[in-house]
Amino acid sequence: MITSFRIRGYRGFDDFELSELRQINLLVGENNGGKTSILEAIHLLHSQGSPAAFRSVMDRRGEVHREDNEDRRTQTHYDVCHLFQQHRIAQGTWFRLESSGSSVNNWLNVRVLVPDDYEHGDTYSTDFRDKFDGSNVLFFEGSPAPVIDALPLSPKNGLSARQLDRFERNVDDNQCPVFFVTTESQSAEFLARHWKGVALTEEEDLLLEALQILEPRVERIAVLGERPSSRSSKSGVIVRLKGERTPVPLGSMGDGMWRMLTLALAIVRSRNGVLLVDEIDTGLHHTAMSDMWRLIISTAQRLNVQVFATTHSLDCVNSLADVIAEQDTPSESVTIQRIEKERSRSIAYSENEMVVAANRGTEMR
Amino acid sequence: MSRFTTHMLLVEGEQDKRVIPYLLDAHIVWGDNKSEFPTNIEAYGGVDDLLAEGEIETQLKTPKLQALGIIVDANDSLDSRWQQVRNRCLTAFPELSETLPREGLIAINDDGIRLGVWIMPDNQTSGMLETFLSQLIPEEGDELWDYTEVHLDEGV
Repeated sequence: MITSFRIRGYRGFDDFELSELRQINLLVGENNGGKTSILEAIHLLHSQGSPAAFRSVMDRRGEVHREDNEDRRTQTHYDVCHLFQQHRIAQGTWFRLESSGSSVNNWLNVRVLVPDDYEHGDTYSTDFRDKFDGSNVLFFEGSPAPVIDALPLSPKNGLSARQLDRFERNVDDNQCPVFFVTTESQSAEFLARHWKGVALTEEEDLLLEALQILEPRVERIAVLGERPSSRSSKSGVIVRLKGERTPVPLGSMGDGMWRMLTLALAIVRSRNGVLLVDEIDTGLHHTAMSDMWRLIISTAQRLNVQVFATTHSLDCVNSLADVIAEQDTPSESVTIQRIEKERSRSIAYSENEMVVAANRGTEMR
Repeated sequence: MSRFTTHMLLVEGEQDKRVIPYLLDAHIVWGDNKSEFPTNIEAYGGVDDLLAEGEIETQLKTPKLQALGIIVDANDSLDSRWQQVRNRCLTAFPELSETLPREGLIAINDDGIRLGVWIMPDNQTSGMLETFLSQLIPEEGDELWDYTEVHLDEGV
């Protein structure tokens, strides 16, 4: 389990540390305060700098541009410069992510090398000169060793999507389960892909339980695995409702149902790993949040998943405190952490402090 | 941002919450509505409630907080009261002195938050808010005070 996490030079953070991390970590703080950047940073580090993780981070932010390559074909390139605090690619630009845990410390260093750095001397692999031929390069170091050690940048300092594709095929994403649930609803294709690993296992009951929080009449779920129709990304998931003769498409039941199923699938698929959820309250009515937290907390404990989630919602914060207050003895498995970029450390609330602040109405966000 | 959310004063109970603005009003402009008040006064259900684990700690973690004041009664023991307050503040203010300065405490931490502590009546002796208020009355010649003293004694 990650107990502390330090970010240097990544996005808006010069040098920032989160400590006293627990199994369930709810990140709060103002807009543009860096909460999502922290989820991204954990994603990048705990997927060992995998190209797929880098790609999804930049995809979500729309950090892409089209660029003509040498043979005048237009290609998609990622604007990697925005990953760095300075928003530019230059000699000596770097970011570093470090996590400490009960058993192991991980780190990932990403540095920009210009030709000057690798053409002379023997600091870098001698084949860099032949391989990269005068390009700027992203250089990866870390522990455990990153999936890739270096990627060349285009003349406009973009990272070509094609390059990333090539590496993605060589990487087994399941080595270290880290799962990022964004605010956008996941496609039916996503649900179908992950449903395969859950169908007819004991975890299938958990998915049912998750949906029953919002709709107690749900009796069964089926993911048909059909190719989603071009008009809808939400076809192919149906449920049987008590008293209804025909199954109902999940997509017709409101965004909350889709979100709940996504969350439940994601936590099951993150077993022994890390689940990252941006704006965990998305699509959920405040009356459903306590049940959502109970499900997340108990499942995280049972499946050994560490959860990092963000929210702006007071209901979301208070419902977490309410669920903690129900416990007979404090488990110290939950913390709220407020992110303020201008500080060097997060402000951490223990379980007792969360309950005290919620009861008194003291602002935590 | 309104000072209402950046400046907090913690007091033991509702009576303190009512008396203290009158005392402050003699020194600073109080204002007519909440957004103009120089501080938000939070009343607890007694000193034990105020000093319960987590109460002062969470107030000190309030977003955008600039200053937190604490006014409590010494009652029988100034020293033990100061130790109780100090223990609650040590995480945010690790360098608080072992003894309370006689003029009351004003400390600033690395985050720029100011902490003020006054232990009634005077940071030096045992007593309470009422002891402090009685000291504001001139030694002799206050008719209402004399009248009250006499009649209270008779009652006892």
